[in-house]
Amino acid sequence: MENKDLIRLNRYIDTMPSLSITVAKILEVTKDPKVTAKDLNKVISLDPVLVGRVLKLVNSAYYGLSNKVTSLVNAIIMLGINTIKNLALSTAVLGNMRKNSSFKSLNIDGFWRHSIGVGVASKLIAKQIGIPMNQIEEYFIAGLLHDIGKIPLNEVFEEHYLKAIRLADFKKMQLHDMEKEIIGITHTEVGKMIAGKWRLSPETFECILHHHNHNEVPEQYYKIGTTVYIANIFCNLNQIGFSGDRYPKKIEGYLLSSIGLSDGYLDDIFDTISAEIEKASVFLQVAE
Amino acid sequence: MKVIFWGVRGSIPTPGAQTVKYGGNTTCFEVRLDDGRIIVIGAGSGIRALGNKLMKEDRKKGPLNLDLFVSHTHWDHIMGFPFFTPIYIPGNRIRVHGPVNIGGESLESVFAIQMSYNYFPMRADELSADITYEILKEDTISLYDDVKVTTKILNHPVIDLGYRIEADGAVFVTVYDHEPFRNLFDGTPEDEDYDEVAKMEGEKAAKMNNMKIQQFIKGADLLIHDAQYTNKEYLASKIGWGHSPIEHVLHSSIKAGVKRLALHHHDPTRTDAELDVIERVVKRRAAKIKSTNIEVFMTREGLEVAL
Repeated sequence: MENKDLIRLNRYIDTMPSLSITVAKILEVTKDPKVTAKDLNKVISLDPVLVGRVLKLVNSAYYGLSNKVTSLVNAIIMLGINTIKNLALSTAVLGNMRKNSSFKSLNIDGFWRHSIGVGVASKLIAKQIGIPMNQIEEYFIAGLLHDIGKIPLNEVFEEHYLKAIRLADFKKMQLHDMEKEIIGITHTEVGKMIAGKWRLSPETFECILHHHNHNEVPEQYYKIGTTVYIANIFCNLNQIGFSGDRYPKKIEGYLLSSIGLSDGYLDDIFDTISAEIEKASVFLQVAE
Repeated sequence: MKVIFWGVRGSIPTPGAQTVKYGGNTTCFEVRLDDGRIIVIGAGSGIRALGNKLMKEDRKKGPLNLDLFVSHTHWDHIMGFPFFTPIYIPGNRIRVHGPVNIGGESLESVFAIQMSYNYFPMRADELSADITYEILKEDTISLYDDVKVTTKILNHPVIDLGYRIEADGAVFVTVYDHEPFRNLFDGTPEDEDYDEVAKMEGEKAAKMNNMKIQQFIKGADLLIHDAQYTNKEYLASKIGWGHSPIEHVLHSSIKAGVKRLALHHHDPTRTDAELDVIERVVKRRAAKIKSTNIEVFMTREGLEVAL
């Protein structure tokens, strides 16, 4: 990958707009002078870019935090409603300006559904395997943000990315292998750049970087890394949204039991995930 | 260390016959170290008169060299800057410090807006003094070898810093503008959007953040704290406005072992007579509490407190 391409990627990441799907709702919610923390939390948690920007702000203002803030609830209380509202608004305005130019190869709606799907699946698995209540949100965020690296790739290398997606489909191969071949960088590597800039927690960082090769996840993040790995394959196999991977690897049998999941568990969660995505989709629709 | 009060009003300057005693200028405090070094906190309208004093008394000894800390960039805390004469004089060195910005803009650009063409006849980049701008996170810095400055992010509708200055064997703390943290995810199971997990998280977060403020003000020789409203006013209509109720400030200061508490950021509607009454009531209340010798008073222009 040439230096100038890396520069273009970095520049895009620095002013990455919110997903066009959430823009209208963000604009509506932030116009309300009586907007509550709950309203903001709800709409922000449906946009991976916004989640990242909120966490970035809180982790850069608070230099001395020994543990990075990973909870939106915590971030909203620390920064306050007005700051969060204005941050959401400025990110959405960027999104509004670029409405016509985003997502030429990857369908935005498909990408969004896949991201939410993996977030919800990760959250459900976390609850099932007994992760403490105060860490569940982190599993959701890691799942929501796992494919964040695809956004800049899709925008900055639009034609090459289209080629990579088509070739992955044609050759029945994994998208990130085609990304490496055609563009020179994978979405997990770009995701790593984003996670660094947004000062995301080490757990989220590892999930973004290794959600295709869980063996690389450091041992202390095994549970969350494996959860997001499983959630991602599950959503791809069941075509919950579409993020460019039509031919995912199968989930290795031992993986489920290694985090305390029964074999049959995944069969039961498809309907729940679909229902949550539909609920979110309805919520994001604005009154005419 | 000596602290001199140049501006004590919140929100907007309030000149007039009803505010002569406490003063109508917005926030500005001069911290004078024992050896004459100058730290200024706040660039409200009060900084104008401070600048004139510095030019008259200190400038003749040589170029000025000072640090200016702003708590946040709400207009009442930066509006005096274009009228602070030292910024126009070559040879003067001024280091401006302030909080991060949500858009990642520099502190310099935020300051410069109020000196742009539409608002002021001179632009910030035309100033002759040597002025630098530094963004501070929540951190502890060594201003000089013998002066420690710790910052704390407060609760206000914009990112906002409290300052704890330790020098000359004394501790001086500013906490404004600030409102006690509260659980924004509170609710009952009957609410449509009730989320038990968020409520628990929110409760923990609010408690933890308020505890950190307590630690921040601990043992202060002088604490200047936001006290814009009475408890009654606060509960009636001012929750979420980013300011503190006086009664809460008194009790948390006593709990933190603060020695002198200056109640600050007087509401623009508060007349001298009303501030007199409030001060009397608060002093009486503090005197009744046996566990403390805390000295309480309202901030007032012209006051000088030696630490």
